Amino acid sequence: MKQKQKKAQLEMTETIFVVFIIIVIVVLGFVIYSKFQEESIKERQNELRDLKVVELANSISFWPELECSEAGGTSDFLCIDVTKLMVLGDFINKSQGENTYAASYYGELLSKSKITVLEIYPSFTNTPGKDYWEIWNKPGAKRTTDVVRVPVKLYNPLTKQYAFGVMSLQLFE
Amino acid sequence: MINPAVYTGRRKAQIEMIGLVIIVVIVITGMLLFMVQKMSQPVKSIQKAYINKQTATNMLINLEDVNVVECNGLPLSTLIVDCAKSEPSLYCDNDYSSCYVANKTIFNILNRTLVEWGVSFTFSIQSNFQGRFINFSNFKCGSGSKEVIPAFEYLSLFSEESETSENAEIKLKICPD
Repeated sequence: MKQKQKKAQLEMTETIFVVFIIIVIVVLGFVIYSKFQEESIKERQNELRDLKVVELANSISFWPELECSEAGGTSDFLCIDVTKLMVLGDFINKSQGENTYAASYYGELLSKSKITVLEIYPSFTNTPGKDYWEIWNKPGAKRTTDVVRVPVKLYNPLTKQYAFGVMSLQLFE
Repeated sequence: MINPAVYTGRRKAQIEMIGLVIIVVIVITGMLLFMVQKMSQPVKSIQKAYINKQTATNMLINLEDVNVVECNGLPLSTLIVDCAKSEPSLYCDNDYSSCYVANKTIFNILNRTLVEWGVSFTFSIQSNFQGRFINFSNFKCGSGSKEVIPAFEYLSLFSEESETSENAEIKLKICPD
């Protein structure tokens, strides 16, 4: 009787041991797989953010405050009016200091980001106000996207000339 | 002398233990193979390809309308069209040909943008008359670039009233990293 009890206990112990080993293996496998999935999801998240930035850049070029326009209401794709750019940059900068509707409007629209426009051709001196404009500059503590650069046309309505420029956007947290 | 019953019992226990170890080894091996296979698969990035294609298309669209300072402010498309014809006839400041000025302007723009950003690309302009007359590239587009669809723009070489429909083909392919 005692021998049978001992045998039963041994078999019970063996079963528990087996189940324990299997659980450990399954948990280990799950942890490792989750780690890989986490990296993959983060990568996808970054790409979707970059895509969002590109869409934002495309939409910015159609803002009435920036888009190229002619009498008749036509507008060019990815074309920015240089004279409007100068005005908008100053206007946003000025409204930052005052608690105005414009400040909250653009703050909500652009939040923590940096948006600049740089003329590439013909002028390429990186001089603020001449061929470099800062539309919005409120970086956060952490960069969430790479700098996304969108080629744009820069139209000067006074000389009726087109220059080649690049709009750079970056989102932060 | 060992009791045969005890001996058989121990033997059975050992065999069961070996069986358990074999199962554990098989499960671990299976998991390892699965992880290796998962890691070796290249990550397909549709979004990155879309961004590259968009950038290439935007570059070409904006390039055409740029006014060239060295050629009385004529649009770059005019210089390209002239250069693509069988007999270019346009001359810019200092008697430079349209081909030379177009080449130089495009080189400057690409150098200050795609090259500066470390992007791999190939850029070319060709026509039936001149063949491939403008050609730039940065780094080598690797095997992954076969899946990349380049951006194209076509400039008509003759006026709309003309019966012929010859074009200059501008092609820009931005390759993945």
